[in-house]
Amino acid sequence: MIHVAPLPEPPDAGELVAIGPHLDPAIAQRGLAAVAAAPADRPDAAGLRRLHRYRRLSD
Amino acid sequence: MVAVTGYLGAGKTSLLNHLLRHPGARIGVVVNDFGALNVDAALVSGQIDEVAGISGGCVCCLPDAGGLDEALEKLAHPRLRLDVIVVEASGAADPVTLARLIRFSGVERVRPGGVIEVIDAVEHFRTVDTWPEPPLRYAAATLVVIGKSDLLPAAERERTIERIGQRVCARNPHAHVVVGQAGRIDPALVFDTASPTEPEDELPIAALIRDERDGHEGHEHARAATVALSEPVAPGALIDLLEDPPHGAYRVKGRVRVRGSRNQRGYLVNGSGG
Repeated sequence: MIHVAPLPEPPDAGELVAIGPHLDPAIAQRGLAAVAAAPADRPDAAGLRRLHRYRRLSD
Repeated sequence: MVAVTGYLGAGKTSLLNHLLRHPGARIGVVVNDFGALNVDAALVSGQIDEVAGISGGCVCCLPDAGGLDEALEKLAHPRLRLDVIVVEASGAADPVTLARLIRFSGVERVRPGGVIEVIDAVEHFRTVDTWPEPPLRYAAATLVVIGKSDLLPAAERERTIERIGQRVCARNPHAHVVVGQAGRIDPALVFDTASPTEPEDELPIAALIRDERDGHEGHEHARAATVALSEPVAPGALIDLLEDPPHGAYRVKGRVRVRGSRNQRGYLVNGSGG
């Protein structure tokens, strides 16, 4: 179940968190870091469409 | 909104009571008991921020789900500032039907946050899982909590827990399985609190109960990984993470900035249930 909700303002500092009873924190950390490191210096039209689709489904 | 399901006497109310003790938690509860007298509502009343009872039958069998949507509508009002609504199903409820009712509830401001199936390790294979095929109820669960395993003979304990896990996995490989005696699971698996501290002028009974030191508050903490973000994230990579979370992650959540075609926007994202 995925939920995406807009914030009134973009946050100055963001974060990503993964939680699980059997999580391997080191592996999860790498997965989260990969998202943080993915190039985001220009708009990603396909990615935005997917994000907005989940946002609409979350309304 | 989180549903707590489980066979009669499995320990659903114990789990709910454990969640209610979480510091700062503002929890709304929909309690469904099978009978004219709503016994479970009485058990949890007085410890709870907002409660709505559905009695007279099992929520998934009553006409119009026994008023589930009306109860959710009431509890989801922003005035109440609840962190989570927990629907405690009757022991007779069918989790698959209940999960469907919740998923397709039309109530605004409510979104599904998972189905927690509570299992009594001692009675499970005599009452619930009695056929060659694993029960369908496992299919609805996002988190399975195995309780009462401390009451099993030591020689059988590990094997029984392992067997329950295998049976759950055979029906639903996406469900996460944890052992939690007396419903003691990490509330972080289930919900976030808006405030880490107790409200000063509200809920004195809940605060008193949370202050009790009866040795039952403890739980094993779920494991977590966090990265701080100082820059915008790529939306495609973010959605990839939510759709395919790291192995063992029951929840992934975040507060992010995303670069759009004209400006940057902020989003809260949540993925739960593995």
